[in-house]
Amino acid sequence: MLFFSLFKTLVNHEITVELKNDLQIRGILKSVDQFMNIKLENVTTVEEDKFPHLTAVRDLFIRGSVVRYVHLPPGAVDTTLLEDATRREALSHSGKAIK
Amino acid sequence: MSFFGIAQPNQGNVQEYEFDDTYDDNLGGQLDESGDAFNDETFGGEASVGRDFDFHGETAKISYAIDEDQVAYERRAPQHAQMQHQQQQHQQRQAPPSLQPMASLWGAPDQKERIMGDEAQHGGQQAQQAHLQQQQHYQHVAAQQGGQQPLSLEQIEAQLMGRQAQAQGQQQQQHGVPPQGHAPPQGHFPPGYGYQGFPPGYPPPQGHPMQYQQPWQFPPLPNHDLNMQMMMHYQQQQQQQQGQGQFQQPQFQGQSQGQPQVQVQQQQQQQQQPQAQTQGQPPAVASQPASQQQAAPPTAPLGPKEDKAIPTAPQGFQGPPHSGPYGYQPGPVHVSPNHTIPPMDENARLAKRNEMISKRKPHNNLMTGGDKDFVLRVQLQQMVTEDPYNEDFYYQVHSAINVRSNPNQPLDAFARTYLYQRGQRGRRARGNENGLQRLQQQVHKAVQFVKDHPKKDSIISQGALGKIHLGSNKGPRQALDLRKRDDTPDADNSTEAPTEGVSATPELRSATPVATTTTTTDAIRSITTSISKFNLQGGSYVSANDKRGILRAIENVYIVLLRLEAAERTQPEDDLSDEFQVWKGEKDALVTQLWRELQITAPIDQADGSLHPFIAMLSHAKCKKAIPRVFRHISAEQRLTILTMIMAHIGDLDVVKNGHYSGEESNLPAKSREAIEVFSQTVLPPLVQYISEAEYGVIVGLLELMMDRNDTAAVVKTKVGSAFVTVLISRAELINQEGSVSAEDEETWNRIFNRVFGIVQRNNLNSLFPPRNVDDSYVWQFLASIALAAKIDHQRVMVDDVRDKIFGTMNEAKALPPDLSQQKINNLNLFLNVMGLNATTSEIGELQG
Repeated sequence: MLFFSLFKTLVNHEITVELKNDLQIRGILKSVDQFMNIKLENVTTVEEDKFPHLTAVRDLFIRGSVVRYVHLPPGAVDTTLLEDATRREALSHSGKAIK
Repeated sequence: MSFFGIAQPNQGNVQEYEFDDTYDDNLGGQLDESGDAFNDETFGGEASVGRDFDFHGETAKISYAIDEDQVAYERRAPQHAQMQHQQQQHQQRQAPPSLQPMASLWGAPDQKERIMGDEAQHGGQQAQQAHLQQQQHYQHVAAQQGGQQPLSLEQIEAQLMGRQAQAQGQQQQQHGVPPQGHAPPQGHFPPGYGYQGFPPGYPPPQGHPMQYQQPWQFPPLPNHDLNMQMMMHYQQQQQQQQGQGQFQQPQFQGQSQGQPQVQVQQQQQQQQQPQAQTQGQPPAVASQPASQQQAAPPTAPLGPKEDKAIPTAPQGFQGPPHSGPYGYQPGPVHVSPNHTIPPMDENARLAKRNEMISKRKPHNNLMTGGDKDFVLRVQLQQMVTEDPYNEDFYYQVHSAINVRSNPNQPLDAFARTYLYQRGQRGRRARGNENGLQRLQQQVHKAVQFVKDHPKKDSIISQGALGKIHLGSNKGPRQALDLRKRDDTPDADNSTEAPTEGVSATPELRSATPVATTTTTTDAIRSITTSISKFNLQGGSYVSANDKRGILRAIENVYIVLLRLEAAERTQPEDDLSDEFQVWKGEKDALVTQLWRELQITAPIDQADGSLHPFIAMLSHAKCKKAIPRVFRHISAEQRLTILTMIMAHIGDLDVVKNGHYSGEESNLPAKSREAIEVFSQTVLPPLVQYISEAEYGVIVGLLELMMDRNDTAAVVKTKVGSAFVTVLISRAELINQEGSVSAEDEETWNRIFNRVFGIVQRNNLNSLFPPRNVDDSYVWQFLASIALAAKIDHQRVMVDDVRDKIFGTMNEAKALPPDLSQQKINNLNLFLNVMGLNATTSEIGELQG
């Protein structure tokens, strides 16, 4: 659930979601769940001329299984904390969870 | 009994039929708190159920999609006959008003035939009126097509069979009412009627008829005595014609056709009397001159005409009364007689707005509050965790940091209820009770239940060949199941061992004496003994050559750090309680363990001549980053030990080893620059902090140790190396200026400093400078610190050495923009000011003031 924990902190930040069909959508992350289903607002397509049919779309919901990459805002990610969270998760998975 | 193949508990018990039991984990049962006393609060029970069961209305909202489908279909059919055929086939479907022009293509002949009949009976009348009528007929048919209701086969048959008889009946009815009495049925029209003013391309609103009812007011119903069958007929039409329905207002009839609304109303009236047309028109509605009957022969026989009319024109439908296709009852549409008619333009505007809304958001309010709560509960159940500091660590700490940095930022209700307060261990949810909170308590119980009844990770059903692996959100189903073979010797045994067992009683045994050079001073001796003090006899240390072992050791440091930091969070309030003593003991044990994991206690000189393990670890960025965190927990003595170890091996540090500039115009590789940057930001600050408070003897000892064990000339040529020397000399000079230094100490210091100065000066001060394109401020700082401690003749030698550099810097500064130039000069002045000099871009003078 590490990624979910991370994505929760990115709510209301701008992210770019790259889908498995090469579509890249940039928008404000409004909601995310444990399946990485994503709700975006104020979306724009990175390649507007290639996907003009998305010009009129403002809000959308992305099923987590079609996401290839999510570009995170670097300033909003605390890498040190993320490393620690990773260690904690690894520890708890190996049965040596930190109390 | 089983539900989806899952065996049920309590077989034969009445309980087994409970809904909750149909879940294999019985979560539902757990959620059922203590009766349903607060269900209303939780799920908003006060909310009216008014539209929850309005399936008709909800379906109608999306039916435009079906309509559009129909439009597309019909556009493809070019011929009249085909259209009629389709019309029969697709009789259930509706055509939106946008179909009007198309519909007239096939609808017109039908109407014309009828009109012919009328004409035959009544003879010609005013041409204009006739024209109007025909127009109205066309539109009427279109409208009716839009409003066509689904007919079963039986109904169609009945329609066919009973049509003539009905026509007769209609005639009788019509005779029974006054001519203007055709208006009454319109009293039943839903408020949406009157939309025909919309452009043809407009789809019908398709909303629930009730939605359109409120803003509309209806003319009083003059004749309730109308035949019920007729009423049904009209109402069915009306329901389906919402988009194009019309208000019929008798007073509008006389108005000009130029206004669409008026025309519409006239058409409406025409629609009211489809049957009448077959038998005879009231005088008000003109029959048509023969010149307008282009499409159909004027003498079309009645029979075939009606056959044709049946499928196309619902107005011909005279079958048994039945409720509309949506089960819509005419009753609620009736209006109270004292309602007034709003202005038409406002009606149109409201209707247009409603239509826009329902078009843009056709699924508004599809879910009730209860539905949403249910979904939310399912989601929460997945996400809620017993131990947020382990499973949701990142979010918890991140939001805690953010909340602290931005306390005014409001949390949304969801975060308040679950995400935030859940994470605050031991803190009770404050005041604001809401439904979500109650929900969250239920979820908490559910989680507890899951914890008490752990799910099996795989199911082996009887007779099956394989087993079904189950995953959860916390332990996803693994694509690969790699198990450690028991017979494999644990490669990390040596490093793993210390993490397992924490010795609660840190025994400090005197151990292998640290080999130092013979010139060791008392100060160094005191430091090196502090190292040996912490050396644990027989302790196994990772070798610097074992890269994986080093990485593993760093991770072990982090693991202990995390435990220490977690322990800090659980510090008992009362310093005197037993609880605190226990906690203190655990924490001290962790600190001891941390000390050991750092490998710092390894002999200062490795037997095989390899790098000291701690120094090897320090070459990794993540170990550098751990140092400030380590310093928070260790004692001053331990800090000194780390500092001593670093000074002793300063030449081996990656940042020093790789910090030399090879050529004049070349910068360091990006990797080295990054490492130096990280070192300067993480390792240096705590060490500098320690040095700035260190005693005279320590400074002297460290400098001497460094010079004894390293190539000082090489060390001071690097940024990190010169930084250490700068800080040490500055601190020593500061203590000197305080004056509380014994003559013996001063003597020692002078000896050490002369040694440093000798080494630096011998190697040409100019060689200290990095290439021109690199920031050289650290060199000027270093020279400044040397000059500060140096005697006046030393200073003169230094200025002579770097004279070219000084003037070169001034000339460079002259060519640069003011701010950059000023920066260069400031760096230069760091050095010159020490000697009472000051430089500008053009000259060097005495320092003023």
